[in-house]
Amino acid sequence: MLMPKRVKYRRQHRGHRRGVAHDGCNVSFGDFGLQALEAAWISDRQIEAARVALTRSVRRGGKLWITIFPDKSVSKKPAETRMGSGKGLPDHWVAVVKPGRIMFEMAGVSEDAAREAMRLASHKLPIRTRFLKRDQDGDAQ
Amino acid sequence: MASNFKLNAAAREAGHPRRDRAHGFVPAIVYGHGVSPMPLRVEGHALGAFLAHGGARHLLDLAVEGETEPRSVVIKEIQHDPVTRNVVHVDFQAVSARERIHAEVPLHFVGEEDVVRTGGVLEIVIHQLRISCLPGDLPDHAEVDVSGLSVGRSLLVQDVRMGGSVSIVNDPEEVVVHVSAPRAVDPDAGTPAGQAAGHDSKA
Repeated sequence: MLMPKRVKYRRQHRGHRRGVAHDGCNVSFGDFGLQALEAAWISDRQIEAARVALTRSVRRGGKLWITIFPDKSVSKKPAETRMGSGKGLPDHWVAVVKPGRIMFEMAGVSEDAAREAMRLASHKLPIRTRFLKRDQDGDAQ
Repeated sequence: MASNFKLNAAAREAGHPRRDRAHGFVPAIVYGHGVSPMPLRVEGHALGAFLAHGGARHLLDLAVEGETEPRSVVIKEIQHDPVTRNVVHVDFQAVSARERIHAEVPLHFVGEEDVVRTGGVLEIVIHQLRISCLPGDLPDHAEVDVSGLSVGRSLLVQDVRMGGSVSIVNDPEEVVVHVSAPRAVDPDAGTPAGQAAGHDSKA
């Protein structure tokens, strides 16, 4: 699963999820993309499940880009532990996704195949998504 | 070759773009070619129809309310809302017929089916080409013939031909498109730890 190789600090603050994405809102690498319509923390497991769904759906050919990366650690206290005694240990990694963010991109497959693959991948994610394609002018629509 | 379109605009007070959008206008600005930047507003419906008919890469006459002569402009940048995809702002660049401008034109690939028939996967590296030309020669797109490419071969910027006064700004050695062999990959093989965002993987 995706995770950073090394980090400076293991535990992070939760932060905020206000606003919309300003970077990564256009289909930049491939011809088709899956765009988030809600804000969420997408976990490393969810990204991996979506990736497997995409690759299984198209089987051969095509190219896939994962344009989000789970670089935020989420800590968790062990079960049946009394409160206090400091912050828990890192449990898993998440990517902070805001509305408008392109999460996956594909190229080298037909639109129908890409649409079906993205539909299957979207079921692995905790948010509403939208299928985007690059138009004739090279811009996303 | 580009032809002249016409679009109406009115001067606006800078600093209140949301108010303009609420009234159905799109905030815009015109600058360049020795004129001081001027905030404008364009009617949203007219702009939408203009862009839907492929006007984004055309030389156009911008008729600003209160000015006698229309300004000759090209669209430099269009900003979209990331969620709704509505146009939220447009940059117009004023141009002179005798001065070269820089622009980006989309690449249209011809003969993709020939590459697929030979068992290759077309990997498009550049979708748009940066060019320099006279405003009157601004092309809608550039055609790239990929039908002769076999697996493992690439097409470079220097192989793309443009007519008229158009010259290409991109590095001539830059790869435009590459044909690779399809690879069957075990979908259950995990992604490596530490893989950077935006990294690609063969499906």
